[in-house]
Amino acid sequence: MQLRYNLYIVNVLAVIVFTAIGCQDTEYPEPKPAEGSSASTANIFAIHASPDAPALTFLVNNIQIGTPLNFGSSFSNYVSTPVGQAQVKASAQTGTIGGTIGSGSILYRGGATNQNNFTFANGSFYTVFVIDTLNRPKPTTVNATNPGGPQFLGPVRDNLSVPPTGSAKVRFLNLAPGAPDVSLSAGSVTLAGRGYSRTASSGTPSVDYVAFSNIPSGNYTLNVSGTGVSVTNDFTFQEGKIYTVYLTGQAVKSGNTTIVKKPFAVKVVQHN
Amino acid sequence: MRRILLVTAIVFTALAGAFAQGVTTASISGTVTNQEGETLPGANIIAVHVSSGTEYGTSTRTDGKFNLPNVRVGSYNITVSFVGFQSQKKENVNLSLGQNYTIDFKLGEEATTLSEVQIVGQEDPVLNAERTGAATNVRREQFETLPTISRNFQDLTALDPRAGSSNLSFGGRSNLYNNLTIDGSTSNNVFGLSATPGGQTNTQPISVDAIEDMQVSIAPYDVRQGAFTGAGVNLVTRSGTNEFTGSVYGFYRNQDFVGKKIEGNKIEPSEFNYKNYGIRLGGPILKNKLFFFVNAELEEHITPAVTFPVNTSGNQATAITNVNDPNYNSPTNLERLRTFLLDPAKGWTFDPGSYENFDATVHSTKFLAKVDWNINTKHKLTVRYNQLDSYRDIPPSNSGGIGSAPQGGRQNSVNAIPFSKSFYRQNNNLKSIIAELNSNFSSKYSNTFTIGYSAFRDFREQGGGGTPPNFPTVDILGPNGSTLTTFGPDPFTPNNKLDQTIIQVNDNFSIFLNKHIVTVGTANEFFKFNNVFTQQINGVYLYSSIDNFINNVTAPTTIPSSNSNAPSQYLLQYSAIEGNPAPGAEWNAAQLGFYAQDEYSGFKNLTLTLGFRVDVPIFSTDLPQNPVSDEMTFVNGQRIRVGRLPKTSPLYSPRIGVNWDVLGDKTLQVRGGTGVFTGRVPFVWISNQVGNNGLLFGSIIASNQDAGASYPFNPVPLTSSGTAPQFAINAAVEEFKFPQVWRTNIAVDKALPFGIVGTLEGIYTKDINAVYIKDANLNNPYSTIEGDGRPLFPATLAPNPTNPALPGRRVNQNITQALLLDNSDKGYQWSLTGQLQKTFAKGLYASVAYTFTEAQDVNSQTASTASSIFTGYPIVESPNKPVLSYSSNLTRHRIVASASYRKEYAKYFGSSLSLIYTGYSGNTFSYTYSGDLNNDGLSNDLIYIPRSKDEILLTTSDARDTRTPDQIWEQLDNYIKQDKYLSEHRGEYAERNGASAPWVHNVNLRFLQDFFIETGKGKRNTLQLSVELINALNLFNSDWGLFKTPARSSLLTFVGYENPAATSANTNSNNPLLPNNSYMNSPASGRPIFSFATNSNGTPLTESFVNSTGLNQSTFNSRWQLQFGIRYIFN
Repeated sequence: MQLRYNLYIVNVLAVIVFTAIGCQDTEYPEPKPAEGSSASTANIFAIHASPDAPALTFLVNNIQIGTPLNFGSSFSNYVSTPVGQAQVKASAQTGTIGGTIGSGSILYRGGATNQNNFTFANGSFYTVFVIDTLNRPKPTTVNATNPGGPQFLGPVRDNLSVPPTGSAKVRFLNLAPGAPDVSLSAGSVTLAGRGYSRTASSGTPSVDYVAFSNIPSGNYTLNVSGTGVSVTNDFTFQEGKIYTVYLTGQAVKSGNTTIVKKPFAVKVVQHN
Repeated sequence: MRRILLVTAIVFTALAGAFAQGVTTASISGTVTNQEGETLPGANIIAVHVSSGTEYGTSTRTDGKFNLPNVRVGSYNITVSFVGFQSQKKENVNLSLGQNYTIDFKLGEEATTLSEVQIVGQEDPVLNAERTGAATNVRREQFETLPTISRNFQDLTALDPRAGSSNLSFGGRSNLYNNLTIDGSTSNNVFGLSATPGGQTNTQPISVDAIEDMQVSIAPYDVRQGAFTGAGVNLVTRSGTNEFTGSVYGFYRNQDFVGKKIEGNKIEPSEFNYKNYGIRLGGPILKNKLFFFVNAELEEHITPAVTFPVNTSGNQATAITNVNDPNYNSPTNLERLRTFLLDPAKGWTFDPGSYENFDATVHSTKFLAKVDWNINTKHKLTVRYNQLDSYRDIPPSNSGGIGSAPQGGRQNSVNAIPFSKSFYRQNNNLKSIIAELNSNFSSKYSNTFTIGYSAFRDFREQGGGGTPPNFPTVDILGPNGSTLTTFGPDPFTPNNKLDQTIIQVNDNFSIFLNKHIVTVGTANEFFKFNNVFTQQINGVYLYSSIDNFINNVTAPTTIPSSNSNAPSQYLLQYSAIEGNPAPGAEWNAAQLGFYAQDEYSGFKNLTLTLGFRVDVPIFSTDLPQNPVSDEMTFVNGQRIRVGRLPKTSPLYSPRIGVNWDVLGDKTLQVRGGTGVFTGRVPFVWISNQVGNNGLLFGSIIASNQDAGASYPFNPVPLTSSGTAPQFAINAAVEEFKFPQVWRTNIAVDKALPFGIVGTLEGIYTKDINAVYIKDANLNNPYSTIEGDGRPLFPATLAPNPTNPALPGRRVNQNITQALLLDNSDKGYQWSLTGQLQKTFAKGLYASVAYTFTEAQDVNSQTASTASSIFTGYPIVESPNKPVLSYSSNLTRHRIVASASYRKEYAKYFGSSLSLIYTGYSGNTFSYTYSGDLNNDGLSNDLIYIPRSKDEILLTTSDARDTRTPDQIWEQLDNYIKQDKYLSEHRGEYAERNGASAPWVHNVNLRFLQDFFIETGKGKRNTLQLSVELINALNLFNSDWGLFKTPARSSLLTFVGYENPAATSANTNSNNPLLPNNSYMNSPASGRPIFSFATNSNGTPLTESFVNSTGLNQSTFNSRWQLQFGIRYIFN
């Protein structure tokens, strides 16, 4: 009897003790996740100015954007991109982009020795240019990640604020490999001394070539000139529109002489 | 035959465990009655320790009971005699550490014959009236037979079912909270840089050959045990006996004895060479009176220091243009540098050491000497001295200290080869002496008095030995931007030392009365610490090439803006205390303890122990005040006084223990208890306060043009004056208390059929004063993160000077961190153990135990300095908010089984095979983001586990990534689906330590082959060969015995916000204290963006775990290892 009573007590104690030890939850708050895709977006415009690169497809984060471009063409409009860090790439439509090293595609790479992507700011507009030739050698910077061949200029930030009444906005860039410094004169507007692939002048103060200048709307003969270069194009700048004018072509130095491999020309691209 | 029985009896006793009464002895108690059961007061009891002839005697009291407390562990013959009665004798009684053996004698009158066995000795120390708390004993024979590859007693603490996966962690608590005593002397590393002395050199304070008995107690309700909230690990060393006994031994292994295949993949381990040899000898100086025991052991582990050596077909160029060239750390360049440094033509010389063909050594010598003196039958004195001298060569640290870390680290890699003299040699030395006097004054009173002195001396030399030179550290980068080489001392080594001196004085007095055993006593420790840590006191120069360094020495640049011929960074932390070139933290502390206890046996079959202990921690040093930080206000209005150590309030520990012999025949026992346990916090945290008060050091951090122009290379370290404009402070809150827990256990022990003893035990521990760390200079969050919901901290250190809605991260701009120790009452651990043990006939014993543990805490205290604990702690909301989550020390399920068998045959041969199996849940870990999501300045953020593509914004990892965001989501989604933890917790934040690695199976074997000759009188000379096989399963099949670790616990990388904060530079010359010259103009907004990288070879991450494929000793856990030994045993 005593034995059974004692055993009973033991069992009861065990049950009480082990059920009293309950589990406790950890103390983290409830997350508040987003419910849909992002509302933020940026915008990009591409211009193919590499004289011997094949037709290129543009991709952001490996998703195609806009239309494929041949040399001398550009998007007809800005296309949207995600915001924040994203990979900007241009791939040959077929095969690889040849050249001395045989790079597979053109990539935006942050810094000469980094593989970092580009960062798009919310609501901003960008233009990216494909420049240089297949034969551009790989840079000698130690640990350079740029494999040579055609490369991006930019993406650069576009200020698309509305021009004053009766005006358009224009900027001028020298995108012809091997070209000397050139200047654009269009009526009273002169945009001077653009070196090849420069987005700003060296020297103090520095002139920003990417910024737009106002120009009264109307018909113009665009005159681009530099040492050994003189080309013109007739163009009508419409009121309220925004344009990029650029020099295209290709020249190669051989000893003291310059050989023009592709003729220089003035091209105009409209952004809006 | 007798030997087999003796061994098995001892071993069974050992495994069955015992309670913890004293930490160095055992005890005997019982009753003497006549045949009718009437008590016999005044009967004489003599217990003789057989091997030493030590005699303990007493007589029964008026209630017929007797006690012989504080007897040496070992084998006894107990004789009882009483005038007019036949004497009786019980032989071969084996006592383990902390065991109380009860024996009841029924005497028959003289000249009568007794027809039945009259002595009822309690055979089983498990089913024992004195046992209350959870404990495990490991006896000498187990140390001799069970496998331990590094000859480390910690390997055998794993026999306790509640041991965790990291050494000396029990029941889910940190191993810094244990108390280790050797012969009663405090032997854990109380400062806390590691759990045991010799921890930094990977050596042990004591050889396993010197150990007689070890006990691990988790819940001793006996108030004589204190100073831990984890476990008390008590070791007692061997003593000499009446016979000379000794042994000479040696153990060896190298890389050929290590498995090369891990899950079918051949991965060669690094070369190494390990040897351990020693001698022990014990015997009488005067028979039955005075005994000695000595043990000396030497251990050495040698590995080549350079695992990525220079390519000898060198490249001549000084600037190497092809980054794929494996020769850019060409010997020509390093040789050129070395020759330059040794050339006296430049006015000074410096020997950097060599860059190839040198070894990193771990070396230790241990010595122990013990004398036991049986002064008379009442008094016994033991004096023990032990010494450890150990060092280890360690590569230079990768840390940047006060500035940026050298790119790619300093340690030898495919890019970097540091010179040999920039390695450092860490020394851990210990000298300890303790004396214990045990006195049994009469049948009623006994006393134990202990006094001890321990000196721990930890210091550093340069690699290979010798004082670090008075020369700066120089880091030189290679052509690819990673560190190429380093020479000069490791930046954290000059003056680095830690001296700890501990004096302890204990006294314990027991009074034996009818039905009561009353104990009163005191246990006191006095500490003196001297910690000197002068990081970067010789200065650290960084050059972008060897040529830049050489030119800077011979012709420093005169062009301030040029980086060539000039350093690109200069760091210096100099002493701000005039006259003291190496200021340190010198301070004293004490922990006093007083206790009283009554063990009441008035109830039938029930023993009740009631005790009370008071611990008083005292910090007895006046610290200097820092008037600058005293005036500041920190977050939420807090004030901090670095000059004031925590108040010393006494800590009370009441305890109750119960033992109930349910059926009255010792076949079913219920035992348990409840009580408060007080621990001591590792003193390194208090030392952080003494050393980080902003007054000791000033600093120079110069980079680029500033470094080049102002700090051309000077082979003599610079000094300067004035305290640093920015500094860190460490303190504890005023009401800070040492850790305390409330612990309860209840257990049932039952004698089962077939001689098996079964135990079911539950332990519950609740933190009363848990410790956590907060940064009182970290401002509160000012916003929440869109698309996640957790708080967001300011993006800049400095506040916007005009807009209060855009605060800075720091409350006070010139304080880098203000770390405070604080208490929390959150945290608990509980465990449930089931255990079966049996000793079979013919030399076989076996035991198996399973333990389930759950442990949650606010901070698992896995690092030694307050700063590392604070920065390494994964969170969701704020590092200052203590949150209850799973412990890093948690091993949820654990099975431990051990078995041993010995057979002697063919007259001269004996073989024994022992095995320990442990199977356990893998380590817990946390899934975090790489990068700082919430801007608290720390990379410590737990991930949110997304349920769908809409809940997470993903982007490519870098320019080489070929995936679209949809493809990245698909890879991430598939990874989550196959991961057990993540798949069950979608839609939640990952919990700290919520995930765990897979189950580990580990079998360790030891085979001993003895060849012996009997030399008369039961003595033998034995030659013993031993083979230890660790992780035996991996030997049989390379797919077994694998130890897996998370493939990538920083699963996702935080890339940035959709709208990052816009910042402006500070141009306000009126505000020169703004250390970070920028503040927010607009806050960060929008959702966070993440990337989920592929493996480095471009393949997607598809599996949560990878095999640990370590190349060196500390990471051989997926490989089998063999160790061979030879031993000669004399007697």
